[in-house]
Amino acid sequence: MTPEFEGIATYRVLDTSFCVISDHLDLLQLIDGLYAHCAVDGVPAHIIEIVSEPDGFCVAVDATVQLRGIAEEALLGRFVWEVNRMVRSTPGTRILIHAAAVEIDGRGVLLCGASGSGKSTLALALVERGARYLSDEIAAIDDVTMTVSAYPKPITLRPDSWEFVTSLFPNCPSEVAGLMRDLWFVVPKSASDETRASLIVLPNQLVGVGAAIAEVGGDAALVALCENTHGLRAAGVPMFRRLARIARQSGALSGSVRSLPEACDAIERRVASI
Amino acid sequence: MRVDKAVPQSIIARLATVASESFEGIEVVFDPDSGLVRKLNRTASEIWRLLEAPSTRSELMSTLSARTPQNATHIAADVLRFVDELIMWGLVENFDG
Repeated sequence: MTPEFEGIATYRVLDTSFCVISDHLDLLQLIDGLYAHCAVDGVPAHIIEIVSEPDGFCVAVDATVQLRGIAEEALLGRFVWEVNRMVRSTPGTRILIHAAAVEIDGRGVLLCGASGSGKSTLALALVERGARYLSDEIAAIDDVTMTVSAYPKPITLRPDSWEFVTSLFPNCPSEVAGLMRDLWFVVPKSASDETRASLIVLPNQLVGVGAAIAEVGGDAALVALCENTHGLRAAGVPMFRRLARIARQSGALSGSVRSLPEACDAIERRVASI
Repeated sequence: MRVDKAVPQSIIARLATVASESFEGIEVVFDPDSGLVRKLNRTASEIWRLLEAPSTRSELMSTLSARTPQNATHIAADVLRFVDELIMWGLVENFDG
């Protein structure tokens, strides 16, 4: 450890390592609690600075200001977003798909969908029923081995999901409750390091009526993977072929997750049949 | 010469850069230039596969009609519609023979 980083925790998620420096001590403590399982020894590749200013907070990454005037209740969300961005922009061999992922009975399940499709809520619901958590934001897949690696950020829940997880309320210490006023961040109770991707689930919106979860073809899975893969256009046809290989080697389900117990039942039944 | 207007005898050819993957008869196509990803329906998928060799609309209609003669009228309409869609999406080119 070099002297300048002594006493500062380094966290590692996928191929990205970072540390956080802030004058907001409650925030630092909360981040440490949320990312404690990612703590490692060594010098971080990135430094995230969060400092108070007269008109709010300023977030800088590697000495470059990203945003100023951030309200306290939005700080944690911004921090998590910056970490996600660093992970996505770090070169690596794995395919990074915008998806949640859990492990059920040793089999990897990708929950692939746009923001607001319910993947984080569904991931949390599955973990509450015994699944092991891998990610709620980025599924990192090696398409040769079909291994999906953990990106163990805390699960992020928007207000429209809170009604589905009332059993978790309140989920943060009262002294930092303001930091989770807009978003909830939940550390899952059980996590996995990596597993083999076996099933792709395409959840529909939480709000609204939709068809129950049912089997769909690999074609639907491929379209969803393409729509949720970072840098597909830049990576071109070779990436499209790699995604097709993942879609071909996995089962696929799609449907409404309005009823979380029903959706979890359907997913667990399908996993058991693999 | 490339043409924009639908002429029965003009030749339709897949863009060389567009890739596709088949899943039980359903084609998913990807245009790396535009980033467009499309899942084709069964008829459009069949037309896409036939276009592995550049063909005219008339040839496509003949081939498909020969497979199911009872649906010849529908097939003609389908071919015209799907080829126009493929052109609109920028997945195929329309050449004046």
